[in-house]
Amino acid sequence: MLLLVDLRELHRAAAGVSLDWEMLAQSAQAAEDKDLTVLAADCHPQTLRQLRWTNAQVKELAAQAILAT
Amino acid sequence: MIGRPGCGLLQMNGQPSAENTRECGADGDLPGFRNWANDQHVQELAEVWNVDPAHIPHHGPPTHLMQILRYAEQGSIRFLYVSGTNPAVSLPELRRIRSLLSQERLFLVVQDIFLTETAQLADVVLPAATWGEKTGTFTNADRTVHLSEKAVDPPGEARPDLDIFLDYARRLDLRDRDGGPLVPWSDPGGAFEGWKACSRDGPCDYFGLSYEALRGGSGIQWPCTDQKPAGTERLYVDGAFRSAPEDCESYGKDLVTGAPVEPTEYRALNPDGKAVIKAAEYLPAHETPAADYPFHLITGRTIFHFHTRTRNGRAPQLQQAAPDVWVEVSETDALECGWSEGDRLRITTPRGEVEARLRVTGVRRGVLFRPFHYGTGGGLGGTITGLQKSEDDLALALHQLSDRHASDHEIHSPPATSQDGPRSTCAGWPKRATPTDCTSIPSRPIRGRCPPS
Repeated sequence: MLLLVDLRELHRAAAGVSLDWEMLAQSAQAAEDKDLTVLAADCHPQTLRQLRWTNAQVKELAAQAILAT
Repeated sequence: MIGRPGCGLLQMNGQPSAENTRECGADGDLPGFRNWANDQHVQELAEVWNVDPAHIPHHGPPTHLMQILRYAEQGSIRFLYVSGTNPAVSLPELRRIRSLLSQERLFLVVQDIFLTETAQLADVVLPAATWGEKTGTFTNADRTVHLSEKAVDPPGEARPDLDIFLDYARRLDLRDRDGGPLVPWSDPGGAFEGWKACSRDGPCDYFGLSYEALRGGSGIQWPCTDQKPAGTERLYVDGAFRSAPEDCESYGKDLVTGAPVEPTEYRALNPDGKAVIKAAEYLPAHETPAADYPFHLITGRTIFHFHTRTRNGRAPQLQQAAPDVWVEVSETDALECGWSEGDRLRITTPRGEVEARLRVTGVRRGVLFRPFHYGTGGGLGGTITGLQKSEDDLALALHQLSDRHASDHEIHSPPATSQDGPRSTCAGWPKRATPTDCTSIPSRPIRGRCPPS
């Protein structure tokens, strides 16, 4: 159950970071800041991958953690 | 290229007939390569079994073994039924595995043909029959189905696995949605008919097979249907794969995290049912050699033994050919560390240690190899502890037993105090108390250079 709580927090944090990259990338493109655009393009997919992972972990563990305790 | 003579893919694996378990759902997947994330597949299976689809657990990916054991460790699983496998020897981190299998709150049932190391930890042991003592089919990794007929009665109280499982199902009083028995058959022939119906029209179609057709020849390759009664020699002819979104057995996983690919994602990725080739960037192993642990430790097989030696360890010729665990070191490393053939080494990783006789072989420099067959107990000797880090290869759900993650395992050279500096030195090893099984060659202090880490 504690693991589930941790994963929930992690997912929320990762979702926040993902939105941050989104905002940075949009602004970087508008400001024609190539370095920042490349950085965001590099890093945002990693955050999205982390998001998918936390989501998958929650999906996998939720029933066991909730029903068996 | 694939699907033409000379261009087939054939896996070489340790358990060719484990193909059966992959097909029929014994790995935790749904039978007949049905996709747990595809509601249509679940619906089909529910019709075959005559149960409510909600009764078939498909809310998430199959729970792999290490996850099951973690649940048992944490107490949310209190009943474990182990059949024909020996986790008390085969798994990583054996101290942990044995301690969780020994828990008072866990009711452990073990069904096997011998009193294995795992069976010795069980609350209930169900003696099972081996091949030759029961009738059934085996399917090899090349899809060839063989009939194996009973030749002799099993000894003592041993019974065929099928009989034990059927007895268990009856006692659980498993029912279908009309109140009939969920498992309606009662012998191998009936089970085979049930499996034919379950696999019909799927990738591994057994529908055209029968015990009669399998008798006498040397097996038939699935898919075998009314149109193809002699089976199918070659798959993927003309580049046809069963990978269309509505047909595929799995939507796949993220290679890095192991997270399942969502159905919509897969549809977008592969609408036309092509073969999917995935790539992932290089990621270093979680642990790499360092000053304290300067070697990679990899594990593998020896030709004389199979897995945990439950059977072959009882064959005197094989047992004598490779009676005890050893560790292989390259010539260069052996020279630099001052080790010679036959020395007894103590190998330590952050998770355990093992003593093994040294063999100088052609293994790569900086790498140590040890066979994974040797467990403690069972009268089979050996002093090994499970050394692997039980971190799952998430995309493959294989625990790290092969050189895929070799760098997770290191030899320890404590404490690094030599004048050569900690990075490059094997310091003196404290002499250990000599155990009874290696009195002839006591361990010795080791001096010399280790490979650069």
